[in-house]
Amino acid sequence: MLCLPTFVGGVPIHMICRASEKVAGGKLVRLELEHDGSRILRAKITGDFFLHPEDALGEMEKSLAGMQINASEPEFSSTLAKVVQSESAELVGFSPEILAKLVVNAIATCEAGENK
Amino acid sequence: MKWRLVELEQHDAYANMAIDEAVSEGVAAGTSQPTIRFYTWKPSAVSIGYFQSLADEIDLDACRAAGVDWVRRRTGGGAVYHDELGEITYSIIAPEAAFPKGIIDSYRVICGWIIDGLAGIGLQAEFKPINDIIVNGKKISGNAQTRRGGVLLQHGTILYDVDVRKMFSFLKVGKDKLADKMIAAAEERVTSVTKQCGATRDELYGALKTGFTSGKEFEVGKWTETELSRAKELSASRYSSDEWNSQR
Repeated sequence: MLCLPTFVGGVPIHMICRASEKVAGGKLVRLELEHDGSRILRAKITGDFFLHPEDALGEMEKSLAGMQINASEPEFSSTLAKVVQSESAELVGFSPEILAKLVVNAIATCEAGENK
Repeated sequence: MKWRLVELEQHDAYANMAIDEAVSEGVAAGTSQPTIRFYTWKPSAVSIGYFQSLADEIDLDACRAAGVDWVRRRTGGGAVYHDELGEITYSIIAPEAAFPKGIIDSYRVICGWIIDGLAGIGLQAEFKPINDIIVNGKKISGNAQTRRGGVLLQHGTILYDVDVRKMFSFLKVGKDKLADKMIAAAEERVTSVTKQCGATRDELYGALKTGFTSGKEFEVGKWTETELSRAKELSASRYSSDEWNSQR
């Protein structure tokens, strides 16, 4: 996990946090989040997983943007699962639950001040 | 359903991926036959999965220095080093309805054709979900699939001769102090035809053709002018572009 602050005039304004997991029996998933200390600004999900239809990933990333960073793991998971359902998406090698865990881990790493 | 078999060809990475997409469009439009194709990559290249980060996966400087291309696939999955002489790649492009609806089930069907082919050179292979084929517990084939516009595209590689150290030199893994350990570990996980038996590459190709076409109505065919023209367009506008390859 990695967490990097971005600076304007020496003052951190956004935090960029990363987390990754090799899912047991599944695939590698990497998550990069940017937040402003209150809300998630953007999310990027990468990895060697499969997702059909592929375009659903962009919708999953968008669904995280705007969420409070102190939302719970089940809330992140539920938000992502709704997108999966609405897009009739099939995830192979990862799941909304795994992604939710990564979101929480990434944010927690930032709060712990790791890698600043 | 009558299949078209397009015999082993050699193209660069961009053309290889562009042909897959051009034929997928043709199958969707009803102007292209369901297709089985075999090909190799010249120059050697690294392909990355649709969802992978180019910067995270490929050592671009090492690729440039060695004249190795890189390309983003339309399919998910991981980064693959396609050695010009070290593998045979295939693509299956056909209506989605011709295959089981379940993703793993459809991998199992097409990977079964590879397993039949490998049996033809005396190798006992098995499907290992999600998308691998193994021989004696080691990976010999990786496969990736997408379904768009009612068309299923599955492509994959069958390793003929693998040099793990060379493979890792183009990927972002294995660049740290554990490189030797990682290479040793990868050599434990990956195998190739040359490591398993004495079959030549021609014998492997012949056996794969039999495995893929057995029990099917098929004819040996060529690309149509429309397919070639569209592939050329896609190669230039998409697969060789930074916009496509660096999108993640």
